[in-house]
Amino acid sequence: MTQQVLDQILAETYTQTEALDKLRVLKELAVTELFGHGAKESNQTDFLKNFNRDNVYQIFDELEKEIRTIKPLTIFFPFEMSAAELTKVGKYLRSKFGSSFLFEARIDPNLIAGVALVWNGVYKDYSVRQKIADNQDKILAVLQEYIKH
Amino acid sequence: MLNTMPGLTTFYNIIYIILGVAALAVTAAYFREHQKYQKLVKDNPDQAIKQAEKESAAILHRALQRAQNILGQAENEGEQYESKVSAELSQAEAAFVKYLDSLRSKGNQLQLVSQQAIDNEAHQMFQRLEEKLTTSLQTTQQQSTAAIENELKNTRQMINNYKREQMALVDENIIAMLEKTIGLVLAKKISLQDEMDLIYQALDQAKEEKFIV
Repeated sequence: MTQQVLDQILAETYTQTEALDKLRVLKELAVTELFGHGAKESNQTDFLKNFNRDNVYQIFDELEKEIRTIKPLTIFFPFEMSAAELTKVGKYLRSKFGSSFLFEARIDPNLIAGVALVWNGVYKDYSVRQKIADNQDKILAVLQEYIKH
Repeated sequence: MLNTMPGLTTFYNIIYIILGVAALAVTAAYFREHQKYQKLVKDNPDQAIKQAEKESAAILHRALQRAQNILGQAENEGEQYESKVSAELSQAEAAFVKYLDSLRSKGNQLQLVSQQAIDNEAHQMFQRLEEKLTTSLQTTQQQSTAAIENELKNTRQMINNYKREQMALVDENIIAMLEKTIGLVLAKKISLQDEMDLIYQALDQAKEEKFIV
């Protein structure tokens, strides 16, 4: 049941921070529904039907543990991406690396364009800045040739 | 010097012994004649006195004669011995003088040899000093030359390093300016779709490189 709930949470969620936020909101909603004033277990949505007063805390603890177990890919963007673009990136990542893949978005304006990635604590730059650095000698040679003429 | 004249002491001892023996003989003769004279005085006092005077005079004469003989002989022997001692002294003196001469000669030779040795040693010392000085000067010259060359090399190296560092700095500045320019241009010119394409390309490349597993 936990995996089913987790899949539902991650279905439209692509970053770990967002997943944890969503989990917290859902937990508050479930607890309110189950333990609040006028709570009625029979009058719940499909999602909340997975929970009752006995398992609600245990399931949410397990879900949080599961989400925190997933290693997110950190992506440095050169500017702040909109939610729509981040969703596109998340979907693209899911298509490449699996249905529960998560990422974390960061901003580094020095990248110019493209992205830099951090995976398992290793940083790799795929940005235009890195491309310029990789081709520095060629660029300088071209510039020197231009200065000579 | 005393050891060279032991005979002189012996000579005087002999003289003393001879004089002692003579004195004893004279004393013995006197007592014998005195006894004879006492006996004669008892028997015939006048004749005895005359006889005694006569004999006494004869005895004294003989004793004096003998003493003179002994003295003369002793003088002769003493003279002989003195001349012998004198000759030996002369020989010893001559030998001593000769020995002193030989010592002086040896001293002179030794001084000469020492002087030559000192001269030779001084000459060799000066030669060694000269050689060492020459070697030291050559070494110093070589070291100075090497130090100057090394310093020149280091200076050239430093200049080259400085030039290289400055060029690297210039290159870095050029690249920084290029990055800034491209950044400014791309920020205005690049479309969102192009940016998304770059992101997808980066993710594909990361997968191909197995950076993300």
